[in-house]
Amino acid sequence: MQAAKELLFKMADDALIIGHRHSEWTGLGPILEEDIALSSMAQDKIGHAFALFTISHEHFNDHDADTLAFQRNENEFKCCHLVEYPIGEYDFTIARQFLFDHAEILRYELLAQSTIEPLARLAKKIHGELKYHVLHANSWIKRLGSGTDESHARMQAAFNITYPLALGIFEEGPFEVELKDRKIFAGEEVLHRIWEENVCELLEQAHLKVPEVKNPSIGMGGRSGYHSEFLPALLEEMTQVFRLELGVEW
Amino acid sequence: MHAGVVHAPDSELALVFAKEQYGRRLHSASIWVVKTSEIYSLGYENEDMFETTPEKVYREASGYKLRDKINQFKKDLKHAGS
Repeated sequence: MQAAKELLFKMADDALIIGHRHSEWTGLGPILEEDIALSSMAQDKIGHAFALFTISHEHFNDHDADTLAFQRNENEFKCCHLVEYPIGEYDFTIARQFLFDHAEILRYELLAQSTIEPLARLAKKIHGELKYHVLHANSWIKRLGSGTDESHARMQAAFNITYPLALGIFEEGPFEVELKDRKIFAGEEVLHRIWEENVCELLEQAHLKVPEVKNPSIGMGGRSGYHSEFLPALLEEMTQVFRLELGVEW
Repeated sequence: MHAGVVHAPDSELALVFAKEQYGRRLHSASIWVVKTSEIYSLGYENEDMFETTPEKVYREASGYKLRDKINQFKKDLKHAGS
């Protein structure tokens, strides 16, 4: 049960936090369609978080989704650092989206056969949404990576920061063996390997270099509750309305 | 709005066929035709990208059930006034 919960929580927290970050583009997108795209993907991500929290609530005797999303302390969050970073400029947001969603779609593909049935069902249900998220990211990476000198330089700079952070997605937890043995999830190592192949190929196609990771401890710690300096302010803002009047029905 | 597909030897005849097949019942303002080979499409293999769309009622005003709350509020106001 602990193993399953650990998996559900890191996935839910990643989705919730990147969803919140995407939503910060609402009203500020570089063009109207992108404003809508990021807002819409934000809703999808928050929906995924809701679905995962609900599985934990209904099948693992946990609190309800609202309580889990809005009433935990920073150190109880299990998201990776990559999703916590501020949206930056559009290059940063798109580079992060690309790296995150490629991991996300693979993770759910691996989970489509999970022995946690509701999780396997969710994986199948949202596959189309993730395909679109990946299509969105791929299209921009291709366009901006091989666009002008400036767009290329900006994308490369964004990947130089986001790529090392993205390795934090695959930080292993204490239940890797159990998850594999119980056929819940194939494990972070497998996921990392396939992700790296896919991402590197697409970066090359977009004329972008795969950054060298000099310090492998960058971006690590999130899965055990140690976060970047950016998470507290995000949680403060995200829970503001919820805290106004606890238990109120909206 | 995409009305349908016609088979025609050129654009002009395609318009004529389209007018007959798709512009004969409901009101139309204009018709345009494009060669199928010129259309870049997502393809039906990606139909799953739209699978969850009907569930996203929060994107519609009708997805927010406020009528009961408004009626209750009005009732409360009346009672408070009387």
